[in-house]
Formats: sequence, structure tokens, C-alpha cells
Amino acid sequence: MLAVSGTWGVRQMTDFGTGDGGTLLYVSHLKKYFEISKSGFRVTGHVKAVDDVSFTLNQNETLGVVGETGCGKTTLGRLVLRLLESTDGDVYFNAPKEVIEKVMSLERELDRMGESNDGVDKERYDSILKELKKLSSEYSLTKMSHRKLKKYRKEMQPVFQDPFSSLDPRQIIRDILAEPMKLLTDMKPEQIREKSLQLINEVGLSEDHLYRFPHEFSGGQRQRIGIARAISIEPKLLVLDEPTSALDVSVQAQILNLLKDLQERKKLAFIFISHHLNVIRLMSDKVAVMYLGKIVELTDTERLFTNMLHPYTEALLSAIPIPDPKVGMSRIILEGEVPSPANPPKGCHFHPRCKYAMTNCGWSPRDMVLPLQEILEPLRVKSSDVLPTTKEILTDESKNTVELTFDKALTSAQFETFKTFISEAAAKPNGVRFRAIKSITLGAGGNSILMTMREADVPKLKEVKPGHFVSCLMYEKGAENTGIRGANVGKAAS
Amino acid sequence: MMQNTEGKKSESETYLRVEKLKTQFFTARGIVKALDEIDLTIRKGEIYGLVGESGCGKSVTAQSIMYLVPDPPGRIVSGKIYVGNVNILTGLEQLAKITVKSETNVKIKRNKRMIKRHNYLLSRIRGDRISMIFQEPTLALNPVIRVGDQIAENILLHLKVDMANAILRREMSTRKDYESFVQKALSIGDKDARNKAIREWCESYSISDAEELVRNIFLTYQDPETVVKSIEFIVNERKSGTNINRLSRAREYYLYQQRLFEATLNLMEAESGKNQDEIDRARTALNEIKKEGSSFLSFRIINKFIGKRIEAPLRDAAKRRVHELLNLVNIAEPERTALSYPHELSGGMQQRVMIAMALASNPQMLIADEPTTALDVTTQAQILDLIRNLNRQMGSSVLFITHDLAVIAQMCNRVGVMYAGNIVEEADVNTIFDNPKHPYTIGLLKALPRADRIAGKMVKLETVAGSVPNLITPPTGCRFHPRCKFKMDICEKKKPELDDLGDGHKVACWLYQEPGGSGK
Repeated sequence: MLAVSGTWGVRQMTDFGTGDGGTLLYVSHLKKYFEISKSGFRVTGHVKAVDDVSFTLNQNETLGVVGETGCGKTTLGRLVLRLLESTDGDVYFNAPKEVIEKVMSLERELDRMGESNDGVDKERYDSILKELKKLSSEYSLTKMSHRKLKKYRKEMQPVFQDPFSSLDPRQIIRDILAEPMKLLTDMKPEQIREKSLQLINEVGLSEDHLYRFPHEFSGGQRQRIGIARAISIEPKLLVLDEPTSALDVSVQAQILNLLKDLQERKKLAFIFISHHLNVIRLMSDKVAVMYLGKIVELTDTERLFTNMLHPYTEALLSAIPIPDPKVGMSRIILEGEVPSPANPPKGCHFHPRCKYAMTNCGWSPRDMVLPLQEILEPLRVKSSDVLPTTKEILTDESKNTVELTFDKALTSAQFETFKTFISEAAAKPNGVRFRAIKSITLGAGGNSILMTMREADVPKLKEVKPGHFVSCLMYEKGAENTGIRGANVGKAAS
Repeated sequence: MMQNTEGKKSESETYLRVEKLKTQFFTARGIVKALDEIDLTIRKGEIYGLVGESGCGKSVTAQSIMYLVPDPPGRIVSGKIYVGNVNILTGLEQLAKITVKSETNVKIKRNKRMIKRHNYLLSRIRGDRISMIFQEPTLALNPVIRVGDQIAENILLHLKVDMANAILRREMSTRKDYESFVQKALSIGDKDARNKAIREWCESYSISDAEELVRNIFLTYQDPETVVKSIEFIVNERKSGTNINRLSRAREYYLYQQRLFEATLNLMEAESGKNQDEIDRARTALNEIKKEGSSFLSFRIINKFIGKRIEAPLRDAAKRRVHELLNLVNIAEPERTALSYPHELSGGMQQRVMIAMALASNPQMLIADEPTTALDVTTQAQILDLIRNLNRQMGSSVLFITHDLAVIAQMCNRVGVMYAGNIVEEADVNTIFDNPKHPYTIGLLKALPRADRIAGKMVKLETVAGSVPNLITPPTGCRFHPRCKFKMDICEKKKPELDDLGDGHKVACWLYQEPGGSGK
């Protein structure tokens, strides 16, 4: 099954953006699952580092990718460059226009088939899959042979985060710059020398810098060399993985300006990965916000910063410190840490930290244990001492149930009291998780209570407004909450 | 005595005063003039931000204040650092004689005896009166010791006397003590005030884990008799039956150590004063106290063999305090976290543990050296909130070092901008952002990409050309002149002083000083 899982208004994706060229890169349902094996050989689970990510990128356009540590930004960049082998999905890069259009239309048809409820035309379905497979084996970077890939390697280059470890300490700068040209082009040595000289001037260094070793340079200068090396073979796409996060403010400004200059002159496309939202706002045309391996919001930069739709984006943007002491702090402090990607929360991954969470957002038994303990704690809640002492709380994720066992059998009056506790907790504004309990039954023997949770809905990246893709259940039909309220980056946002 | 001097000057608001601090690193390539006679004052309860590019000497300032400059190659050459009213650099010139023959040929003759004494004194000031939150929690935490034990180490070093007092009070407490407390607490009508009294009482009896219980008892029962009974029950439950004689002997020994420390500090101060009478007096006082030491001989022998057993009740109290501290820094499940090793915690949690460690001994002054640089924005927001709240609650001063001007804007009351080992501008936070004067400050502010402003495709940031100079051969005169847009002739020749423009806005720039132009 290639593409039934995602719904994607692909046509609109190609339309928006300020790039003047055609679609340069089309990433389709890209996945990377890292295997976890605890015993050594048997695979016990997967870390879904990148999970069903799709986007397009035009020429001369910048896509910013933001998210917290461990959300899969870097993995995404490496997958696009095929520095990592992907688990599933396709990357169409620099493919003929017709091919990309064809793939998009086929995938769109598949999506429609997956969505429609009436019987699927099996024959047509299979033929589409077959055609897609043929196209992807021909054009997708993820399925290509290494020999064929070499042709595409010339067109895309990475710039790494740490300028101290990404340059070979034993080579002089001239050799560092010449290496990609030697390997990927058939330029003559004189041409290479000339080109190196031109490159080093282009990034704001001078000729004598060519004959020095990397350790003689400062961080900013090294990053310039890294950029010069990346653009040496005239690529069309640069994947910039946190290019300025190791640099000082003033040097960062120099590097960002240099990148903007280069983009203007060479019509480059950038994938700009960073966790600094202020840099993202300055650099990118459109932004993808990632959380635990998924894109939760994707739209053009201005709209994201002024009119965000996903609660996570709202929290993330409100946490940016604004360099103006008079701007009030209206921060939304997210509770807790980013959950482990090996065992992410059910449904929408963000729901345990979301302040707009609804009953169908994926509340599962494990979210219930602590709150239940809290309401059954006689020291905190005085009235709970009518119930017998709780022995243990058992959760069953597969059956979606929580089982409470007591040391004595409950009377029916006690059971009713318990029910009122739950409904009281549910009535509180932060008691969504209690509202998500579908049924409460008295277990056999009378000394246990069985609670079944509501089934979770999984949000999909959908086009909520034209050109604005969000993955949140609040924008489904008939949702309990309808969108986030009054969000802005600082009060001075214009 | 130290207490006397503190009493005299307690009106003054400043807690930390740095005067003409000069720190240099003597390397094989030459002398790195890392700090060039900086002045700095931090008031009580204030958050002072220090900002600048890397290599400007921000961290060296922090290290110098903690006297943690790596030696060799670094040394504080001259200057004074007053913490409270104690100059921690007293007798600096006696510690080592530095003879500079040339840039690369420097002889440092260290006086080992004096250095040993100085280190002994500082080990009691450091962590107790000033403590520090380091930049990289992964590097600052010991990977093979549980975080709870690492925090407890600080508590056991600095709070032994208090803890021993509390434990002894608890062990020897009787019904009468509870009665007087209950009467006092019941007479307090205000809920917050009463809760505060309860907290203090619980702390002084080393039963702070039962604080919530005691509070509940006061809420549920009004009758003094029942309250006293329940409190008696709670305290009796927590009495551990420690050997009181041994513990009180230990407390006396700790008190003796404290007196020794204070006498040594006095002697050191006297010696720097060059007044022979005073030196003699301080020396006799020290000798008097040293004589007391002989009476502790038997205790020290016992301590050598069963020290662990003697300290066991203190260790228990420290453990409880660790849990409290972890609670204070918003760590869920403090009991479990205290038992984990650093690598089991995430970056944000590790930074919280670092903060808990720094707060362990209720310091008056906290130095935060880039505490959020390695963290995500959302975690950064949490940590900044935490530091701000702690500052508000405890009233301790904070020296906040960062290169992120946005964080400075959100955190600090006053800001100092550093460049190449000098403070070039200092003002309150609003002035710095609204009306920056020094060209470097202006440049830094303009180079900042802003998340709250629209930036089009064509928008470029203004930059400060060039980079921070090598401090082995710093530029003459004003160290910023090679990068400055408003360079004048005088800038190369003479170093500008940090001059007050009014309202505490200090700038070191010839543009605003005689002789020089009249503004820009």
C-alpha cells in the first residue's frame, strides 16, 4: 500500500509559493522507522523518526523546517539527500515536469479511492499502484540505484550544523573545495583551481585563505567554507541543517545575508532546518512545523506567524523570546517533555500537552493512571474515603481499558459514588480525559471497576484554508473546539 | 569579625561588587588579556544580564567571580571582588608573583601555603554564598553519581550545622514545644502567614516532609488539644533514635570549623591591610580557636572510623531536602529522579537538576552562565520562568550571562554589554533596547533576526563587519575601533572610560565623551 493513508490536496501544493520555476522537489509520504531491538536480534519496536511526510519545493524557494529536538527535522533532511535509506516513500527531485504531475494525479486518485466509502474499483486500484511503482523506481531518489543517483547528487548539497566537525582537519581549504568537483564533475584541474578562487571570493574570503587549514578559521569563516563547498558544483538544492546555530548573532547575520545573496544570484532552493524561529521567519517562504516525526502545520511564513492554526505551533511561537522588554510575555508553557518517539501517544501525538484537547484526540488508558490516582487519594480529596482502598490500576492499551481493583468488594452505592467522582472530574475545564471515558462497568466479583476509553481519531494533514495545511482534529466537521483563539507572536506583531 | 563588617554596611544594596578586575591567560603564544579592568555591581534581588559575542569575556567574568579560572594558564592579575562585604581576592598579590619579561616569557611564582589557605576559604564561600549554573549540564554533572547524591553533596558541605540543629531539636522535643508552637500558630489568623510559620517550624524540626500533613491538621481541627496530640504523633513517628550525644558532639565540631573559617578570613583581610596591630590581633584570635581543636581529638578519631554512621541522620535530612529542591524546580516524581543517573534525564531535566544543585544552600547570588543555550525554545521558556520565579521568591541576585539579546530583554533588570574584555555599555534593560548608545550595542541589536517582524525575501540584516579580535594582541585604545563605523582618531590612541550619561546609563565610547565629537 503506497499512499492510501494520507489525504493530500497535492494540486494546490504546487500552486502556492513564490518560486518562479517549476516544482523542483516533491517528497511523497516519506517514512523512516528506526528499529529498536532490546535483546540484540529481535526487533521490539520502531522509532518513527519521520512518519508520512509530504511536501513540494519550487525553484528559488525556501522551505523552513522547525520543531523541537528529536522531532525528526535532521532525519528528514538526510532522507531527502539519501544520506539515509528511507523505510517507505518517494523523493522526486529534478524529475521531468510531466512525471511529477503524473505521480501527483495518480496519488490524488488513490487518496480519493481511499476516502470514498462505496466499493473500490479493484482493477483500477491495482493498475494505479503498478504505474506508481514503475514511476518511482524510475525517478524516485529513494528507489534509485547508486550509479544513477550520482547524477542527482550533483544537484543537491548539504551544509551541516557544526562547522568544526564538517571540514577535514588534514586538508587545506583548496582541497576541501575541490573534492566535490573532482568527484562529481569532469572539470580539469585548472578549471577547478579557477572555480575555487571564484568560490572563495563569492563567500567573502580571500585567495590566501585557500592555502590554510580549517583550524585556522573562526566558526563563521568555517561555515562560509562549508557553504562554498556546497555550491561548488552548482547545485539546485541546498539542505541547510541548522547552519547558524553554532554562531554568534553578528556572524549569524553575515551568514544569513550570504545565503540570501546566493539564493538570489543562483536561483537556489533551500530546505532550511532550524529550531530558531526568528531565523526561520527571516529566511523561509513557507514553513513546515514538525512534531514527533509528523508535519503538523505547513503554510507560507507570514501566515504561520500571524495566523497559526495548530495548537503546537501556537505554543512554540509563544515561547520565542522577543528582543524588546516592553513586549509582554503571553507564553503558553507546555507541560512536560516531548514524549518518547519510540512510544508516542495515541491518536494525535500532541494531545497530552494540548490545551484545546478534545475527547477524540486519543486519550488512552496510560493517560488515565495518574489522574485517577489523584482523585482517589484520600489525603487530597476528602470525600474519596467512602471507597475501599485502591489496590492497583491496570491498563490494557490494546483493548483500550483501565481496570481499577480494590481490596474489598464495592457496594452499589459506592459504585454510584465512584461514577459521580468521574463525572465531577469530567465537568472541570481540564477534565477532558475523563470525558473521554466511554463506559464504566462493575467487574466480576464486585471488587474491580472496568473503564473503556473512547476510540481515538487520527488527525491527517488537511488543507484547512487555501494553502494552509494543518493536522488537527479541531478542523474536522463537528469538532468540539473550533480552532485556536487569539494567538500572536508577541504583542508587537504587525 | 565578618558579622561586624556585614552589620555596618547592611544599608548598602549591592551584593556583588567587582572593581578593576583583570584576568589574563599566560599562554605559549602570548598573554591573552581576557578581562581588562572591568567594574560591575549587582544589587540585591536584581537580575543582571551580561551579553556579548563568544570570546568577549563573559564566561571568564563568571569564572573569575567564582575564582574558578583554570590555573595554569589563567590568573586573576588584580582587582577586587566583594561578595557581601568580603573581598574574595584579599591577599591576591601574596598568592603568586607574576613577572612579565615578555609576552611569551612570564614567570609565575606561586606561594603554595597561601594558595592552600585561599582555596580553603573559597570552598566555603563558593556554593554557599554564590553558586553557579553551568552552560552544559551534560558536562557539569558527574555521570557516575546519582543526581540526588550530587545535590546532597552540596547540602552536606554547607548546611551541616543547620541540619544538626534541627535534628537535635526534633529528637529532644517534648510536648511543651508543640504546645507553644500550636498556640502561636492558632493565633495567626492570616492563612498565608500561618502556612509560612508552619513551614519554618517544620524546617527547624527537620520534618519538612510532613509539612502538608501539619497544614491539614491545622485546617481540620480547631481544638488546640487535638492539634498538639496529632503533631506530637507526627514528630514522634519521625524521631529516629539517633545517638544524641554523638550528634551534638559533631555539631560542636562543625561549629568549631565554622569559627576557624571566619577567623582565617579575618586574618586574610587584616594581612591585606598592612596594619601590624590588626594582623597580630587576628592571628592571636585564630590561634585561640586552633587551641580548641585539641579537645576534638577523640571525636576526630571516632569520626575517622564511624564517620558514616555519625552523618547518617544528616544524610537522611539532606535526602529530604533534595526532594524538596527537585519539587521546587518543577520536576515531577522527585523521588525517582533523585535516584537516576544524569544520562537518563533529558536536557531540560538536567538543567533543572543543575539549578536545584545551585539553590541547595540558599545562596544570595546565582551566576547563570548561558543556562538555556543548549535547550529548545519551549524548554528554554520553562527554565527562564523558573529562574525568574526563584529570583522573585528567594530574593537572590542573579548574574545572567547569555549571547541572546531576546532572552536578556525578557529576563533582566539591568544589562551590561561586553566586548573584548570590557564592559562597553551598561544601563537598565529598557534603555538598552530603546536608546542604545555604543556602536557595538546598536550593531548587535540590528543584526538580530526578529520573530515578531515581517521579513520579506529581499530584507537583509545589518551586520557588524569583522569578528572579535584576538585578545593576545588586542587593538589599541578602544578595542572596538577596527569594526566601528564612527571611528575617530582618538579611538586608536586612548581607551575610553565607562562614563555615566545620567540615570545609570554608562557608555565607554569617545562619541559621548570629551575629547570627542558631539554625538553621532
